[in-house]
Amino acid sequence: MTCKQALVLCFTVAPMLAAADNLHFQVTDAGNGKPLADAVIVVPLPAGEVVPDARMVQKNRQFVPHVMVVPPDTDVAFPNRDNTQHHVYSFSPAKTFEIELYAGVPEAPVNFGTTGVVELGCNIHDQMQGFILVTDQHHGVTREQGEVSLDWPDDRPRPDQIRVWHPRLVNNTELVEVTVDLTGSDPVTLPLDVHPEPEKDSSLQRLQQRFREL
Amino acid sequence: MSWRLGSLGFRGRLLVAMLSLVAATALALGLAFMFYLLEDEEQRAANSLDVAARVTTEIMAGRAELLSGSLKVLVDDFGFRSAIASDNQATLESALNNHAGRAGADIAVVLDSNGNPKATLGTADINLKDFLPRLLARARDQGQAEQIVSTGNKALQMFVVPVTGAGLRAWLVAGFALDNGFARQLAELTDTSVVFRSRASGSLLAASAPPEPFTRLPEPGDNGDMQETRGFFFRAIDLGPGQPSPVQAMLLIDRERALANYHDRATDLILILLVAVALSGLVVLVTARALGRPVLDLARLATAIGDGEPVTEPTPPRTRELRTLQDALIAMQRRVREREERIRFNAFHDELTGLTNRKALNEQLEEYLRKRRPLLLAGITLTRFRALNDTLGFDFGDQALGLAADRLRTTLEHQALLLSRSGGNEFVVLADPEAGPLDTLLARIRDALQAEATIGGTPLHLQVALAGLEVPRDAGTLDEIRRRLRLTLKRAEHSPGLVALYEPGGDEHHLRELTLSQDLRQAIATGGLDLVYQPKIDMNSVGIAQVEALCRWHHPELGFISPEEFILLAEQTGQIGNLTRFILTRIAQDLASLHREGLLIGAAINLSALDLGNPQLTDDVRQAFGGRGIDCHWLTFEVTESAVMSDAASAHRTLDQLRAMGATLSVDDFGTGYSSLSQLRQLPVQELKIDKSFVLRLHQEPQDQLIVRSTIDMAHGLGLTVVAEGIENLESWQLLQDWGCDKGQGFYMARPMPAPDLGDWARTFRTRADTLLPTTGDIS
Repeated sequence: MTCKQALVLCFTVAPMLAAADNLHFQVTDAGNGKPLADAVIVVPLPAGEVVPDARMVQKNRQFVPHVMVVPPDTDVAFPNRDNTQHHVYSFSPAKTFEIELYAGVPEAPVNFGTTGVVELGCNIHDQMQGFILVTDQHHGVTREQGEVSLDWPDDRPRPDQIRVWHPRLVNNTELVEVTVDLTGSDPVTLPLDVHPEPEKDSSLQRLQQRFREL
Repeated sequence: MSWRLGSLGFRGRLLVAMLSLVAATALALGLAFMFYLLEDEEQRAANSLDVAARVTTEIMAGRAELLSGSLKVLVDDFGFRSAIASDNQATLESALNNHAGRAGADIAVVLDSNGNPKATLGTADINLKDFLPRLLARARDQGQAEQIVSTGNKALQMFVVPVTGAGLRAWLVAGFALDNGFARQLAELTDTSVVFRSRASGSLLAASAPPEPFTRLPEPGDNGDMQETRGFFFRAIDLGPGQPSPVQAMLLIDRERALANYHDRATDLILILLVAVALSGLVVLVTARALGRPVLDLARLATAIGDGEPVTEPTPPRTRELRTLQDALIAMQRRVREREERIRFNAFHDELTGLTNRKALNEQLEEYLRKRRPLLLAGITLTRFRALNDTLGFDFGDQALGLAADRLRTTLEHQALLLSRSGGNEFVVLADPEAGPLDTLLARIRDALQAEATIGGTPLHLQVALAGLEVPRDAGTLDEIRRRLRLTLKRAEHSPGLVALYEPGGDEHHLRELTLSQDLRQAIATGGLDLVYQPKIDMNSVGIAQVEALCRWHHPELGFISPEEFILLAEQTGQIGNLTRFILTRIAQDLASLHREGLLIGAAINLSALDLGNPQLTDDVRQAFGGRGIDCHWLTFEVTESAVMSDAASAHRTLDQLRAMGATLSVDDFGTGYSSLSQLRQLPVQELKIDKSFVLRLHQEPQDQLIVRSTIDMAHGLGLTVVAEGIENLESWQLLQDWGCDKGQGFYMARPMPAPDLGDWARTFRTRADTLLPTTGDIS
């Protein structure tokens, strides 16, 4: 799914730029050097494209996609594809909202007007977590191998300050400013201090597994 | 009341010793047992405290888990999280109030992600800054944190848990007081008293009971052993994670309660031991009584033996030792009686003859006198017995005495009341007057004793002197009997038939001598004798030439005692030395005082035969006169010829010494007694004193005149001066003066007088001296 998202992003951003992909990044876990997927790189280049039909699907008690980047004033729909009800909410200062228990598609999408990180949760499924990053800047999301490439106009000097964010950042409520040297053509590696990856095989998940099997 | 061990009897000592032993054993047992019991009870208390400590730790851990669990549920509550996220202060506070109350927290605080309080509950008197920053730091590090804190005067169990939600980052701080209620719960579960205490200040934070008894507990140590105070066993444990904990729980067991069991047992034990001591005392008492009674019986037996009472042998005691003792006492009684009889026999009998001795005689006589029984007494002396002993030996003498005793026994077997050897060679026989008259008794005795005998082949002819007395006619007391028997025996020895009967009055002279001799001793010692002085007049110059010292004794009862009598008595009773010394001393005193008055005259002193034989005499003279500064040339010693002759050698020695000292020597009483002219020639004398028997009637007796005149001539021829004494008239004085007599002495000139009168006399005499001056020469 992430791959598909990346393809969508490539597809939408690429035609806008005169230049080809020329900024290459790879984001890694500073702790163990592993590549981090779902990291967002934001470069100081205004971009205001509206994402039509933006939707954060709940499927298998998961938010899909896990991380979604939208420009400000985007309406995001929260279709429920599970056979249980969800109670989606966020206490994030960028957008505090709550869609009480529902099934199917809620009556109205949620409008995200302010830039910032909005964390999503479900009040009845604690493990469900999703993020909507609202930004009006040019940005990219890393793929499985943590790499992403961004277009940068040839006529503008390459930036030396970019912003990075990842769901597992120690403080994942805001983006991290990073100083980078983008003069070369090689991918720039961005190591991030992140929380360790949560155990997939937790007891809670085993319990859920059993529920599922029932 | 005081008593000493020494005054205790055998039973008392036994009782004290046994009871002491039992009591000491009981005490030692009791003390040891009680000590172990006490240790046991203390160990029990320590164990209880151990268990209580474990339970407390467990409860605290459980409580922490419970509280933190409920807090976690609380922070997961969506409404609560919504309220936090709402940023509406009123909503937040009311939600905090509601939810914290639900968990039962005493205080609660909501912090934002930076640790700044957003809302508080019940924190008015609590200074959060004291502990919250550190607690929060730990929570950030570990996800959550728990800590027990002491703040204000409360102990709080604090928790910090994160409040997270989608986009929500906050902290919930909740505190649960460790209050009196909780302490009571703990106390109930651990069966101890529980006190929460601040480690830093030591102040009480909560207690399961009124806190007064707990305020003075000592500074608690670290977790560990039981401690104890006067009132409690206790131990302290740190509460909560993190050492050292600022709050300690003190677990206390009331000592009284812990030791109640011990006290009960101790009381029982003491009771048992007291009963044991009392019982053993009873047993000892009975035993001591059983042991003591035969001892007391023996003591009574010994007392009876000692008092000489007749005793019957008591039944033998059962104890072997006491039986031995009783046998010994009985044997002792027998031997004591035997010895007593022997002693009594010896005391009253003469060993040699087997007759009774003087002591027995005296006792028997007193007995008869008391009964006024008439008696015949025969005193017997074996005369010439000393000669017998000297010639034939003492053994022979003893055999002779034995023979005499045997004969007395044989002869007087039926007649005598008592046969006694009263002295060395003296026997006394007591007889009943009814058995025959005294003469017959004496005759029988004499005949029996004087009969021929041989001892060991030696013929023996005993000669006896016999004295007879009839009691009570001749004597009424024991003293009289003894004295008169002795006198009569003396008389018998000198009488022709060697037999004498007592004559009344025969012992009066003896009595007088006895009295005088005793009183003379007293008189010499106390100065009861007087000295008088009779002047000797120089016939040529009619001046006082000298005084003769004469001793006088006025007996307080018997009147004037003549010098002849008491001097003889003094010689016989060995007092002459003392008497002479006394006289010399008095003369020296008197002469010294006369010389001081200016009457420079000498003194003539009479010496007896014994004086002359006394080698001490010259020393006495020297001491008496030398001590008063009187030279010996003032002295004239008058001695009789018979005195010189009785022991001529020592008399000569004494006279020579006196002469050598410068004294004048004079022959006294010349013309009487034994007079030897050759003797006179050899004596170192310078003066001759004609006896007054020639002078008293000189003016009437031509024979006396012849003797005196010749004597004067002879004396002058021998170079001696002549003194005439006994001049009682002028005629005699003038005759003597005419014949050339040198000095005269007599009542005509002067009677003997006390020394103080001499001065007056001398002055008076000078006035009449003219009438005595020689006239013949001047006239013719």
